[in-house]
Amino acid sequence: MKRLVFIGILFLGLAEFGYGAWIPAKAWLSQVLLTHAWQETLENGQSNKPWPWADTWPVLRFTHEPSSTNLLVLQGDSGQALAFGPGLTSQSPMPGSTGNTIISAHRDTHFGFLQQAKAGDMIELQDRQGNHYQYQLIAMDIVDSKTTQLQIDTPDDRVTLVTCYPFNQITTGGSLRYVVTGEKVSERITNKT
Amino acid sequence: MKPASEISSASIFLHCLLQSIAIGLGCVALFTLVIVLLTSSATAQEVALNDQTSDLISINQPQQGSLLFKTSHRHLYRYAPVLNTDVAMDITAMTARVRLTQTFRNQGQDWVEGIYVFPLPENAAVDHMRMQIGERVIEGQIKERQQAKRIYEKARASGRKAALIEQERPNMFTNSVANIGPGETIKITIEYQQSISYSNERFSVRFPMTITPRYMPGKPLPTMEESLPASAGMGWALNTTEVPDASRISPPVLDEGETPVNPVNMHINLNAGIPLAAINSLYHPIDMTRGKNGKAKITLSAKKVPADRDFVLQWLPATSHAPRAALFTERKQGTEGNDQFYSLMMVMPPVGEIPQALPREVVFIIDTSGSMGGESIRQARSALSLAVKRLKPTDRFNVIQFNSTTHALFNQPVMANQYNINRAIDYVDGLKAGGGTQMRPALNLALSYPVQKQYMQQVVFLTDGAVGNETALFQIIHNKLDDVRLFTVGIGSAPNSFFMSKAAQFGRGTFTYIGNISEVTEKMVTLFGKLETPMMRDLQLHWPENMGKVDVYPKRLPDIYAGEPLVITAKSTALSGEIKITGQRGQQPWSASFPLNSRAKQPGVGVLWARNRIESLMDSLRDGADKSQVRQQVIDTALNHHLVSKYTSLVAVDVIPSRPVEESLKKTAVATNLPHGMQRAKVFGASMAKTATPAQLHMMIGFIVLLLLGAYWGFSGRCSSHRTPQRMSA
Repeated sequence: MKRLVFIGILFLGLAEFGYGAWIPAKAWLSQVLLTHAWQETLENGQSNKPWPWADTWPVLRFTHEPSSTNLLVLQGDSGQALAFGPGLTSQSPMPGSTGNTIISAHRDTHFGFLQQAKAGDMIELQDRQGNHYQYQLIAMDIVDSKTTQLQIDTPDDRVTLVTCYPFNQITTGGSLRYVVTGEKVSERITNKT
Repeated sequence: MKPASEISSASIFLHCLLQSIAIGLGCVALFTLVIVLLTSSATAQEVALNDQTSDLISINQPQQGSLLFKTSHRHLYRYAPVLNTDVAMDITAMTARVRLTQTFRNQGQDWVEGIYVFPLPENAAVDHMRMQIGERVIEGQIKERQQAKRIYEKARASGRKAALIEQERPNMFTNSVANIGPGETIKITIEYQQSISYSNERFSVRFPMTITPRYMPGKPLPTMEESLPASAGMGWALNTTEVPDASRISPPVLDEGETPVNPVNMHINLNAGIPLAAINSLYHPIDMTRGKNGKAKITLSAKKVPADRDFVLQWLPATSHAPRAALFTERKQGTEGNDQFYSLMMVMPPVGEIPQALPREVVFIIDTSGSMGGESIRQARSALSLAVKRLKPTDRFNVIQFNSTTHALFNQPVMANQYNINRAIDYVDGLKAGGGTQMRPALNLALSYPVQKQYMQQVVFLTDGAVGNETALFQIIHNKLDDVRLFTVGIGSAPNSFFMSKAAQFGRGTFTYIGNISEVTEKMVTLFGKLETPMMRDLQLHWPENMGKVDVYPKRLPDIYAGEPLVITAKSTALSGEIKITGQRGQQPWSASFPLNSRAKQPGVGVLWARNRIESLMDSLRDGADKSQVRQQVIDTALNHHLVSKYTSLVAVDVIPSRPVEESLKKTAVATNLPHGMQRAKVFGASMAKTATPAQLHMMIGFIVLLLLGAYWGFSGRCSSHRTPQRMSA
């Protein structure tokens, strides 16, 4: 009986730990699966689902050289999408058109690197047509999401990366966000035939 | 097994069961404690950060503003005073005297300063303000703007109640009220004079109730450069290079679905002076008691309405009573002691009977920005389709839409044949609203088509005018107009009527307002009448010589379209004889004379003249007039006539301090309603996603459980090693 209780608690502890560990594992694994979908997308320019039952698909590739971050950005910033990768806010424009491209991700998985990112760093976005857009990070802000909204119709081309703040906090559901802004500095358009 | 050992093993089992239960409970208690500690420390951290956020941003990251919309500070709302607005309107013939009482009630526990950005008609001449605290009434004084601001700030700091009325735009004002104590009520009464518009034999007066959130183009200004903290607004927008006062003209806006605030109550006393055929309110149900000779008392059927759309009252003269000309005067003592005559003159030139001789080239511009989302874009599409269908085969046209980008249907204006018209109608049907309001490229494009002498060139501009950079746009119209005529069509529940009417003035066209889908046909047909018949142009006034110098506003007389009157205000030292008006109607000269002796006395005309003079002075800046000279002239005129202007404000200060200096004062912005039929998400972008996972929390809990289990294992191991000798001895 005592053993049973012991094993029960041990099992609970392992399950709890495993559940916690599954989140970053899933985040990592899905990026691997997404890479395949992205390769197809670059070839056919279509929305390709990374796995048959997925409700999202990759729309952008995101690169931050200094931290060797290489991520595939998904359509939409719902909780389901964010479990697998950074999400592009559905109303926000794609890099090619004027406005604010807003990408959100979890602070402890995909966007953990933002903690090290600094103004002046370059990031790159690649769209489904294979065009590349370079942005220079210009500002890092901590804002309260209860009182702040992001502007989509900015007059210039920019990217906004959003993640939760503080980075090393255990609890979820806080209202603070770490908001990183990048200005478009250059673009490389590939003309596909 | 022996019974004795059975007993002892049973007791050991019981012992260990209890022990494990105790440990289990201990674990639960520990988890709870850990979780409580974690969350509470997190909240504490959050609160601390919340407080620091603004400092953090402004000190370390002056550029942060670049992307953030500062929206409704909900936690401040709790303290924001509740506002009620009562409107009393006295309409006599062609002028209205309006008394607007804003009642601020503080339901919170703190001393607050209420800041309310509110709209007024674009032709309102604000000349009085009173602050009422209980039974005491304090009259507002007109001061130069900076001086008024200083007086107000000083009173605020010293704990005295004070009120300040500032003009942000000719149709947008800010009322700041300082030191409203817990549970207190302060009433601010604002009075203004306005002229009544008369067009197509119909009088109308508009009372705007809310402000359509404006689009603020330009790069954000670094917050460090903010000249004075006092000049910083509380709005959701950041000041930009093109709209340096964006934060002042963007009051917080409530969401759709939130209970509307600022209920409005209206009492109108109409004295039209002529028998009326009908009186109606376009967007609000009204109750009225009619008297003789165009007299009526009007109230809103719903005693209080949410301030979320403009109120418009119209009255139609009975047949054969429609005035063709009218003159109202006010006699005042001038500064040198001599008499001054202020006149308001309305003349209806006979236009509209002959068709336009030249074919037309019409460029339609349609605003498809986010603020047009919902009801507005449907109105605009429907109006534009009507206009396109109405074109004649000899006419030429083009359709331009703009939001963040500009797109023209055709590269150049094309012939209005059936094929092109069908293409345009398909194009218009497919228009959707979304994105910014970059009006400048669209206007530039529409005014850049080559001059066509054999065509009458017209631009019809459908928009809600929800922009903050009005001045820059006026400048484009002013500079590039040439012989084109610009007609604005205002769309939506609360369009920026200042922009609309002023753009039409600089464009030498007219302003049509459509507030409801059911009005589209009627209003557009009226507009077509103006577009399709020749206007009266080159109008000139010839005053009798014995009257000496006459100071007339507007300085440059507008072109007059079918159904529109010529309305002028004048100041003179005498008023007698006959005035002659000449002009060019189509190809023919026209002239008419009116006696200046048949006139009606009308107080308030002087204020209207002064307001028009100020407007004219401000317009002269577009012609490159000297800024400081204009400023001085505006200040002189405004101080003389007790008028609020861009450079003068009304300020009232209580003599007795009421707030103990040790108590702090909270600055709060009073929210405005989202205009009726508008979609918030189309205007204000995205809210932020949830971006934290519970991964760490789960892993931590799991880790603690395993750790405790390990500890227990070690402990129970010792526990059984203690017992082993016991069992051996037994």
